[in-house]
Amino acid sequence: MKFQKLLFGCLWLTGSVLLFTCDTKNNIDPAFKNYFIKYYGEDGNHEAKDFVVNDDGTVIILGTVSFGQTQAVQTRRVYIVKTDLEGNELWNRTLGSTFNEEAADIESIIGGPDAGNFLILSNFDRAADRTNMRLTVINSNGDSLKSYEYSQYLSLRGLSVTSSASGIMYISGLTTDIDAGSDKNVLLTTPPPILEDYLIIRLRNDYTIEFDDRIGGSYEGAAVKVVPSGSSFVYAAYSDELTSSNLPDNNEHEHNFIFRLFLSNPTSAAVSLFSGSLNLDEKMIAFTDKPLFNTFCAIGTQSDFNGANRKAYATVVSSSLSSVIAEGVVLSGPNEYEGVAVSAASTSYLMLANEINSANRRDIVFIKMSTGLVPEFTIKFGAVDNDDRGAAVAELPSGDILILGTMQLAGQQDKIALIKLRPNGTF
Amino acid sequence: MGFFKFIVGLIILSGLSIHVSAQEERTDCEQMLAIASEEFNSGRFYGIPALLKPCVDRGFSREQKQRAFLLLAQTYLLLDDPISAENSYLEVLRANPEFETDTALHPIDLVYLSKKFTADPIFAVFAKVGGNTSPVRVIQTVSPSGQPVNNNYGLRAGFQVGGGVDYNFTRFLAISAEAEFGFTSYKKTQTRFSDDLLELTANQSWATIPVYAKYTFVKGNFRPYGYGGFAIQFLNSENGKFISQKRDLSDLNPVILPESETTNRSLMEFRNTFNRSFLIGGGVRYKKGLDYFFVDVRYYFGLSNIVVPTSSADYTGVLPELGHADDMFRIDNLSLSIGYYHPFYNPRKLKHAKTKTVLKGINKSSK
Repeated sequence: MKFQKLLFGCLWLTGSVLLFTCDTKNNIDPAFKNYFIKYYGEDGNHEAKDFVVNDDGTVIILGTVSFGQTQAVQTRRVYIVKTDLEGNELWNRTLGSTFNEEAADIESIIGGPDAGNFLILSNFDRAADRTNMRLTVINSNGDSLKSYEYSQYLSLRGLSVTSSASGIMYISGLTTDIDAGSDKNVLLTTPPPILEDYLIIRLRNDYTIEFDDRIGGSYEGAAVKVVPSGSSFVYAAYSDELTSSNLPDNNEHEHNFIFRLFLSNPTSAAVSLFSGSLNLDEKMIAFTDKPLFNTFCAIGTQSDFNGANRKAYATVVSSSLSSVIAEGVVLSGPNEYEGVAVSAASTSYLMLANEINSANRRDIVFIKMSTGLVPEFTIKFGAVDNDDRGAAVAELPSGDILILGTMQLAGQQDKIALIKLRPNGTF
Repeated sequence: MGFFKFIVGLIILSGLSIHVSAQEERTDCEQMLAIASEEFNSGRFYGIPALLKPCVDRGFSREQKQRAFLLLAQTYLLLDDPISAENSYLEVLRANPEFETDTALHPIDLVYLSKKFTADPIFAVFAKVGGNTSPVRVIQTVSPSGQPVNNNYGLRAGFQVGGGVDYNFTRFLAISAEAEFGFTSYKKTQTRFSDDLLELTANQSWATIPVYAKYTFVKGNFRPYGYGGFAIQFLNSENGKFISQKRDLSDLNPVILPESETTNRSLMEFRNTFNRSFLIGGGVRYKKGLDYFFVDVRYYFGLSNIVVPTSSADYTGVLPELGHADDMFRIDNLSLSIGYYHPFYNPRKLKHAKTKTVLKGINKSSK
């Protein structure tokens, strides 16, 4: 009987322990709440482009939504999502347009009468082979307050917009309405037609054009970004223009990174700096919007002249453009790579690139890198059979890392993906 | 060939002759048992043990043995030989472990003697097989999207096999332990991004060790029972197949793409292997000889969250590939089994005779 009592006692005790350890909402660890991959979008396919992180911890994501499955009947519109830092969607907006329109950049307005609101740069197809730009001002609720079209050339495309504390703004991009009188590569024995000039537009705080510059004379080229540097500005661009022997020039369309320091008008640059390799193309994709330890960083893609053998290529320059601190390939391997985005964190540069496999499908690669382009760690996101691509990256005030990209889910639908990581790159 | 036929024929012949011989012996012993009963009724007790001995040694069937030893037990009681009476009654229980005296049929001294003994099984073993279904109970919905998602879990059929052992404290109450291997399945259908569908069909295999207290009604051919207890569950594997379908229904030109199906893939990296549950159940045993067939219905209430949260935060895998993130959930299981139950009867003398109920029985039968 004693044994029986003991056995019952043990059973009761075990049962009680088991009962009291029942998993409930209160005792499970919701790791997904703070570090996650979250997707955004509704009907249609959604392509991520850029984001801004606000002081209140919210994030406004900019992208493009496409309706319809074939290019011929596709309708594209600018799509905006606001989330909190747990990735919960607060609202989303699709901006109206009478044209197919693609998002290009979003920035906080830091000066002028609209300070506190947000600038959205987009490009719309006014007609066949004719793209114009639009600047839309939205408030923190996503309401469109006003918008301005820029069509001073037949076709022009904005890549980025910069807001300054004084209220003036710069749009960087390119135009195919070229300046025929500009310098060309005189080494070419049979000069090909000039296709693109890079374009920088300076706007007053009422969004009217103060002046615009078509710079180049290049077969291909674009201004990627204008950023303030002290009392001056730096523009970062790429083109196949001659480098005045700053780099070895040849009789090829060889693209290089170009950095120029200017006071107000980019055509009157005080300092020029070039980065690139002989007999290889380097096309810039992104440039940091603030300095890190008095340096700026650009990322792009290096390839052969025919576009093959793509590698992610980066250059760090001093903020005064006095020197190139470091330059070179940051990602290469059996697969190909293309640079996507770069941002300055507190002590490192955060870079995004796409790894491209033999089936031409991409994965997102994140690299944390020193100002000397020494990698701290690399992480890859995505599925082998899907086409996933990066868009933007930023460090949060807490040190956590926020990555924006587009994930092709189940091989059939593109959605905006927001990824939040710990500072060491783990979830 | 001829030799082989000869051997087979010889074996059959020998078998037949043994069978006939045993039959004849039983007929003889039945006559002997009748003579012994007459002797008993005539009050000639002393010769009965010697009369029955040859048949006790070799000839009685199980039923005849029960009657013979019952007669011997009564005889020894009357001859004031309690040790031989007890031995004889023990043989009665060995012949029929379910034999019980009745105050209306048996002399009171035999009834009292019987209360010193029991043949109740201490252990019993059983085996079972059946079908099951596993309802999912969500602790917390996890949306892979920034917006809430709509998840529906559907029931699917599985099956299980198992076996166990009962340790009987009393005739009614037992502690049972089992080893059960179950194959379960569930289906999750998620609607997200307005109208898009993602369907997961998952198949799990479990090894379960339930321990429970069981109460059984012991009268009649149909013997209902009920039980409750706890179980440790090991999730051995979970494989899932995903079907995704993009559906843009709000568009002016609605788009519904064909379903995209993945191959079967393991989901074990997102699962806790060790889980707990408590269970309740019941059933009916049908008596067949000294053993039983039974039908059992059981419900496991899962206590553990079987999901580790990595599926909602992963560099590669189902989240980037399909946009799938597991909810935090417990999984229950409802099963219906049929089985076979075999008690190990153990005729033995009790330390304390249970004589309290005898008087109650006499009063009852006199009414």
